[in-house]
Amino acid sequence: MKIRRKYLYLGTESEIVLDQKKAGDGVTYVGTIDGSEYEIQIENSDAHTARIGVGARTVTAYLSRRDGVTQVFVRGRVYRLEGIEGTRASATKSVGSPEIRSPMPGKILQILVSDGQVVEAGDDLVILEAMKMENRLRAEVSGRVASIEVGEGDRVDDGQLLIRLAPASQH
Amino acid sequence: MMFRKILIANRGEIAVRIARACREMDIESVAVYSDADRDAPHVRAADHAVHIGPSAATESYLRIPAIIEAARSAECDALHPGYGFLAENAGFARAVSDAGVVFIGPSPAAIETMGDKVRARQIAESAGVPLAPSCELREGETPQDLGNRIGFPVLVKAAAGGGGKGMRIVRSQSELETAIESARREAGSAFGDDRVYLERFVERARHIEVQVLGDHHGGILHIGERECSIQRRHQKIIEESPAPAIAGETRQTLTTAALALARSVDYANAGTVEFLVDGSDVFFLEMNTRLQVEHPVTEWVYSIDLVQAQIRIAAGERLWLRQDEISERGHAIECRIYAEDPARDFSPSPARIDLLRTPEAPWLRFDSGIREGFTIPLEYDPMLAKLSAWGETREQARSRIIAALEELAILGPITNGSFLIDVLRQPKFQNGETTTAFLAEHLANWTQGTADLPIALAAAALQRPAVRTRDGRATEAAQDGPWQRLGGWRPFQS
Repeated sequence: MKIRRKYLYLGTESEIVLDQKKAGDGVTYVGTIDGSEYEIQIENSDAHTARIGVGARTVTAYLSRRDGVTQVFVRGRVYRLEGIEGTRASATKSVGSPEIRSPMPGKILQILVSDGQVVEAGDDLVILEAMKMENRLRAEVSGRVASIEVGEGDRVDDGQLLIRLAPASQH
Repeated sequence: MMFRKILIANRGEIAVRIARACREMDIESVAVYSDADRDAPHVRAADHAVHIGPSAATESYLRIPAIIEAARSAECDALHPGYGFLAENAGFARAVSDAGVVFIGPSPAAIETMGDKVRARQIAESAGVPLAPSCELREGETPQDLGNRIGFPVLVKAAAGGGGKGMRIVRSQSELETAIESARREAGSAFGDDRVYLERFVERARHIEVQVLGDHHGGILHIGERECSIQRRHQKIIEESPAPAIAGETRQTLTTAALALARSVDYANAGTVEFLVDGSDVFFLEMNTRLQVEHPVTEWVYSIDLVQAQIRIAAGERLWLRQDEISERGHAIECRIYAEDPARDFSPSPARIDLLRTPEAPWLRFDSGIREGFTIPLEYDPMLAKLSAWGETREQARSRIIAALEELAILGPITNGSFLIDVLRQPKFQNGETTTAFLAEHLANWTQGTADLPIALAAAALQRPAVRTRDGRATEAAQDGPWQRLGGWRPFQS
């Protein structure tokens, strides 16, 4: 039985192919990760815990999954792996987005731009208060403010669309 | 006489810590909680709990009448404010006393004097404590006048401030006005007082602070120093005691100044006097008239329980130790665990704690305000817990806390755990070459590496599938998948 998965970690895609070698006390796979081959052993696991050996190293990993992202804890590091189904690669990740979304739940303290205003990449657009700190959200690309989706004083959720930019040349 | 019942006017790990001290002293404890904290660990840690209002701090943990009413209805004879929230609010301390409840802290006058950073500087100056150049924004003065007077870089600080809130570094005249405006706003919402002042920014210095303990009978002593140079957003994330590299003479200057300052306000409580130290230059920063977040490192090294000490002092006890009976042993390091993303400018990452596995080891302490299944409210500070370790030497403490961080698994929110490990592993940190500019100089543009990525990928690919039940919870499923076909596995039982 072959398992093939693709994940996105810090903007870079990784592919892992696992081929089950034998069953016994634990399971051994031959794994190909981004072209390199590893022997992988897994034992005694539940949905959140895996004792896993890759190459010469055996560690206990903890896992949790939500919204298509698998968080894997290995020796003090949490790897956030975004599952990519089939061939759907997320190419949009590498360039700045014209959509300004809230990076966390919070409250809109101040909107620093107005409709139609031309902004440069790096310009401050919104001051978001979250956990008692002010956070300045900046434009990732240059453009013109096409729409402002929130008002000052609004409470916003993680990922909520705040401002949409359009290419500056469009009128 | 010792108290019978203490109201804990705080939340999170510090409320849990105070509840423990109460239990050890055979005093009943009463927690207070907001809507967001109904299931919070601190509520369960106390003997009783009183609901005080909606989630917003201004309507709960900062609402003085609600807290006084809680203390009264629960028939408490004392109140511990913890740190943050109302801990340094003189009006609150006064209201507590007026309600016939003992405030476990210094006199309202001492809080007032030290809480006003501008006045505190004046007192420090007259007590002979060395200061960095500073000035206030007076009526009719423009920010330009100020910037010119002090020179750049300059720090904009909240007069009522603390904890880095309302603080801005300004490097040029053009940024000054915006910085003052935004510092004012942040200070206003955090402290209800939007006055700010400017202070010369000492860029590469060690943050060293002296722990003091005073009683109501004129007794005062110091319990050594802590170094807390590793800071982001002007907030400490790693603290240690003793300071790794400090000349005996400088240490003497610091403790003498700290005691003089504490004496000048008849200080009766645990308190901390903060300094910046640059070689042999010493600059007074401020005095915090409360328990400090990083008090565990002092407790480790000096074998003293500072929370119990606060309670005993408030109950009228004389200091039971003499200065010459206080001696340090070994070294302790503490790391603050925050729900924040170090790769994204340390922006907060509140979320549900999906999984929590904590290390257990000798010489290790985990002060925690979270548990599995708890959703971190976005209304409060994103500090989740503190991990601290003791060693006979600094190096032993360092290796112990690294090993512990490598076993502290928190899934759900993004935390700074991985970042902390990389800070502790820096050769300059290992050598004790630490300043407040450390993170900017050595860990700017930090991202997590890929060392164990193959293991993580394999674990993710082989994870037993989870399904969502009707109530939206993820649960293990006995469905047909690779896990169920594996030989030698414990069968899943639901």
